[in-house]
Amino acid sequence: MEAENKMPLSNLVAGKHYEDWNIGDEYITASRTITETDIVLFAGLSGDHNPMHTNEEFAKKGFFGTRVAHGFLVLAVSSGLINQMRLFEGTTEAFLGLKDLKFSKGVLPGDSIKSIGKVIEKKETSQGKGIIAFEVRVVNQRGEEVSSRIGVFMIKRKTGK
Amino acid sequence: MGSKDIAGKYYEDWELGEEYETAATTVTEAHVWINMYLTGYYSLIHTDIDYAKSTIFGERVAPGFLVHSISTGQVNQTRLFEGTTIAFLGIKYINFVKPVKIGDTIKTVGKLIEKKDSKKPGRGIVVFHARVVNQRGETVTESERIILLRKKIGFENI
Repeated sequence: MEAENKMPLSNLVAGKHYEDWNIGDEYITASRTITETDIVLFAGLSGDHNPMHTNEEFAKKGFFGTRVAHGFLVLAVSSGLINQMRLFEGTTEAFLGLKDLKFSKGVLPGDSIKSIGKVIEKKETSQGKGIIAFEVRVVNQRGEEVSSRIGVFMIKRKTGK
Repeated sequence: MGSKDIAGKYYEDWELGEEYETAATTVTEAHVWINMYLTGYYSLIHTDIDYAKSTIFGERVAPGFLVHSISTGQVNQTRLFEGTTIAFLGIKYINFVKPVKIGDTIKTVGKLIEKKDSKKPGRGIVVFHARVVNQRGETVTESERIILLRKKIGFENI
């Protein structure tokens, strides 16, 4: 008979705990192409129908020369790519906030983006909660930075505090 | 006469301290689920009812970025920025103050806190303090948003 006692690998807590992260640790996600489909769907989802995203005739005469992806679409896809690395699965207690979010270059339909993250700060609160700050850069297929931010998270501790 | 593409306010038309308040949107399971499909953000706190019960929130919550995305949509629907936004430059900070649960209704309240001419002609930078507020009047997120706006003249010369 097979080893019935063997526990299957649980996918519930696959992420790294607070103690597993070190300052300077980095991750790089897969890439994903942002297409017209994403922009149209995001305009519907968010209700942001600003013509720079939705009206090609208008956008042709504008700063980007064509429709451009919403900044928050780029941000949301970036966070999805990070999530798929499973480094935070089951171990994020809360996403506390963002600082210094910059949209430095437009993302146009057909551009591919990936996220590059690095631990820049670790600290414990007075109640023993673990807080980690990550610097995340989003780069396109030409290696140009399109966005950057600092994300601050409360990450579970091994001791279960 | 202005083009019909441009319903928004130009840089010169905004005054420090000016406020806006958007219409409200109920954040539904559809928003959270479609956001999950679109972004690949399958984190259990947003997408698994049983897991969510075991957390400090007790039920599924909307991702902070989704709440903020709906907020930027609400602001654009006021038409105050239509055709006059050159680019969304960034955000100084976003604080996720309270969770937004499926079924909560949110709206955005904004105030112009900074105006700065750009060195380049035809454009200026504005900073808005924006609070997203739920149906109980509680602030759920707070942020400062930086936008590059068109001036009435000089933009064509860029």
